[in-house]
Amino acid sequence: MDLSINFEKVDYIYQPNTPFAHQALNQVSFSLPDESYTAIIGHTGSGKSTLVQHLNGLLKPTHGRLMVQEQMITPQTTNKELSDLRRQVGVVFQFPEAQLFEETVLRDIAFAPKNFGIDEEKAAQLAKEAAEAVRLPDSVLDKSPFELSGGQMRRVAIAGILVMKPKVLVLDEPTAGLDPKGHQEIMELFARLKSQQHLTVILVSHQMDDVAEYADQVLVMEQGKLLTQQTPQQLFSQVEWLNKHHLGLPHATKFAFEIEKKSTFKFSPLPLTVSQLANQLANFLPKGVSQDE
Amino acid sequence: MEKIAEIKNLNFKYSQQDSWLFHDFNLAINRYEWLAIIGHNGSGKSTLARLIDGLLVPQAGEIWIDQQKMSSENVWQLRKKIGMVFQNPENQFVGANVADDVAFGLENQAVPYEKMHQRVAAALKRVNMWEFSEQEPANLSGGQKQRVAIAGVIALKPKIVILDEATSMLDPAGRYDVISLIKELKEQEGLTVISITHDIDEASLADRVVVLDDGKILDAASPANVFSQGQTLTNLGLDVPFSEKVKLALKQQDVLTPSEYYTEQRMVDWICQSILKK
Repeated sequence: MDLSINFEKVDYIYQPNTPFAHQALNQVSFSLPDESYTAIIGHTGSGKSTLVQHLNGLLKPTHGRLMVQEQMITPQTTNKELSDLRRQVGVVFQFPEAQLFEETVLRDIAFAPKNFGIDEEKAAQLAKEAAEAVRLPDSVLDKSPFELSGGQMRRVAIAGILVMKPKVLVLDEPTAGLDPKGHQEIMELFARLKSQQHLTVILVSHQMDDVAEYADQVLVMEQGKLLTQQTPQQLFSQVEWLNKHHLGLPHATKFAFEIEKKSTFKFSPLPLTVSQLANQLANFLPKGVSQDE
Repeated sequence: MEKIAEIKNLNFKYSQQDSWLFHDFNLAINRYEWLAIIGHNGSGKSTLARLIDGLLVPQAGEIWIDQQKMSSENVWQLRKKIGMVFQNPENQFVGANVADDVAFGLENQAVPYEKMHQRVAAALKRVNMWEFSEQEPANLSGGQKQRVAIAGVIALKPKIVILDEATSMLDPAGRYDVISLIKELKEQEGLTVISITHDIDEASLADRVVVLDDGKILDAASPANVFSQGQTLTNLGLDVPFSEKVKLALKQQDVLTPSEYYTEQRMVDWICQSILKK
């Protein structure tokens, strides 16, 4: 499989050679294949955000190097060399709707292609396609983005990133502040886009249920170091290791451990989601239609 | 039971709206109650909180706080009885350091200097942030910033504390931290807590849960009662307790599940016993 992203001994030091020097990344090495879905977990200050800011060249390593979509980034790389990369890597930060500014939804989505020199008509066409991809109804395209609900504003902001047809999508807690339904819709939107547009997705999240549901691999960061790279199934089986690093479990996994503690039932493999949990339990529980319906 | 806040026949809409967000809306909140208000984005939760705090003025109806009817003359007085903690810890830190931030509200109320010092120190000690009093906000985690915001609120000695999604931007540890603090303060300071939340674990701590949908109260009952309506909550775009999610998933596989609401612990016990019976 082709590699989308490859880090080689990346260090990042904020304010180097000053008394305030702070090493945010320490010898970080890993690689991610094309079309993978990777979750990055770790506590506040563990280096997650610093790491993802390297992916589109917002930050460049202090030492070491990385490759993203065949673009090499070293401490010497100039910003000019990175302009092509910035089209290929779309980043959805927390509260992306704070960056909306245009008069209409369509103009806001079309801003980036116009900025990259694409003519008005073509930009509007691309914007319509992106709006459709995030399932924004046509009726909102001529409205002000500020009249929309929080969930819809977030869709507009995401469409404004997808419009550049990135190959890599970086999501930094993309559902913060949304209600549970909005959360689920946006997470499913990313999963669908990933398979339809063959994206490589990187998700920074505190929510282990999302990590379990969507990611195929997990990077665990602690104090600027990459502790481990594993599948969710491997990672969430190591309860003691997770406890030691103050990391949580998916809710379904926690629930499964409680059942194992109090009965002779053994799960195999350990369930990470509610449906996996129910699938394994259902055949051992009494069936029938409850009387209350 | 004595009411600390009462909303009577309230009508409210924002100026650009055609129809009422709240139409003949009524809600009474008991003194020392912990009331959770749940509802999807746009259901009117935050608007309701701002109406109670007098930040928005209704077109018609009455709002009573601590036995007084709110009017343009007494709104400043009544607002002192209410403390609000908002969602984003970044947006409510106004001081250059932790102690200044807590002092801000007291300064606004012209509390004398000596007394202000005492109350800042006492409030910071109450939230376990005293050792951080000289720190800048940049050095604090989200949970710590919210604790400072809570110290700023309790320094003003309010009767009602409104949490407007105050934990939604925190990581699980920060969330737990803030909620256990509020729980403790509620008991010790005799507060009434109104918590607007999407977090079902936070709502389950309440004495009463109000389900709001487009400005209407769909349900107002104990957490156990409200949470037993799993499918209804899901249809409204709301979360349900994990035990209810398990129950729904099992039901879909034709498992005969208990009809009443079970806490997570009880659900584990039920599953273990049912497996054994087979």
